[in-house]
Amino acid sequence: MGLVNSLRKTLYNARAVAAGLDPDFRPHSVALVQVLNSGAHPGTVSNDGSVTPITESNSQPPKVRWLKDEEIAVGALGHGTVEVGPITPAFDGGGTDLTALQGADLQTNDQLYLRITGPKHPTGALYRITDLQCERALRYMIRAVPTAMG
Amino acid sequence: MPASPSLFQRFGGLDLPLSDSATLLDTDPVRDVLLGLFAAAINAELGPAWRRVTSGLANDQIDKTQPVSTTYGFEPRQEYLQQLRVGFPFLALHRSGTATHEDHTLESERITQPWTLHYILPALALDDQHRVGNVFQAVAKIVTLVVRERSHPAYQDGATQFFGSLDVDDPGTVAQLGSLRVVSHEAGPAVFSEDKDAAPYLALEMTLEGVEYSGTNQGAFGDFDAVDYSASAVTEDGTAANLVLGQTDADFPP
Repeated sequence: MGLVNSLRKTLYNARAVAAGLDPDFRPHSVALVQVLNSGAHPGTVSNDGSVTPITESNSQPPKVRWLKDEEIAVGALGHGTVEVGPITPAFDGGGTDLTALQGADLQTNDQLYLRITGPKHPTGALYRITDLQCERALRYMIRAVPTAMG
Repeated sequence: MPASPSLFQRFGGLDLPLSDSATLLDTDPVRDVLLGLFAAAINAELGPAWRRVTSGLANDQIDKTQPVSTTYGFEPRQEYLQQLRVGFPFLALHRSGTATHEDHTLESERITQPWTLHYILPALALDDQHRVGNVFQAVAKIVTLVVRERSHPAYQDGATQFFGSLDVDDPGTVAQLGSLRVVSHEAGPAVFSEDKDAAPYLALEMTLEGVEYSGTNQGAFGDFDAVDYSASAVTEDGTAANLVLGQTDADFPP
């Protein structure tokens, strides 16, 4: 894992370079939002769980790209589909844990969303994760579809 | 008296005026009561057999303790289920299709409402499907019998559901349905899993038809305190003369 670890660290730093510049090439921030449900059905008794920002080095956000109409049509994807990444997998010193993206610690009826905040959604919008590409050792890619404001 | 004006009417499970602590979830108790009734009946009737079969399954997605792990009050579409961690197998019940409105009597209305009940298993390999697949016909028959009996001993101690409570002042927690019948059932791919290349989520889909009636919400009226009666006639000079005066409160005579 030594080579993979060092490569991840390099990419972790490199992927943050585009953000934090003037002008800002990464104006949108991304966070994982959990909603914990303890009632009989989702929504009867809900509590806000954790809100965990997804970041690269220096707390910079990953790339957020809304797919073009052509990509949506060819892939039969939902309107407003967004692609987030590349996200650096967890390594010694940083990265994002895959189990967090998968919601592995959630209980039955708990909800998991991506919240995207920025010029397109000034007050934030919730997206549901429709695809998580994690087969590569050096990056994760998330596809999500808009669900609600907030 | 309620804080705001009200019709003092009820329609199915909607009792107006709503109580001070009511939320919108309280405006449709029928769905949650039916879900609880069916889930309790299925778990009571099939629980032991279910546990004997599922204890040997390697699948971690399936609840091995009871055949109904959780219930949902909405259509189990992919865009909804992608938002939460789903407990399998689950029972989902929702109003569906077009509800028909008719006059029941001169003073009351009737709604005939289609309902759809889904019972969905997680994605299973072929051998596991064979072990648990008979559950679909069993669930369909149990639900049909429960609807005919209008109760099950495992739910609210066997209280008769539908028709509402005999106590007009306390409708209780029974389903406020005039009647309910099973129309049809079908087993096959789940509503979100009809692509043949997708993971095979098998499901039972039952169509039910419920009837809800309107009426006066007698239990919402407060205690009768008093009433003043007066009838008068207006004379030629415009003077009103009381012909009948009646009061029922303790202040009589004034």
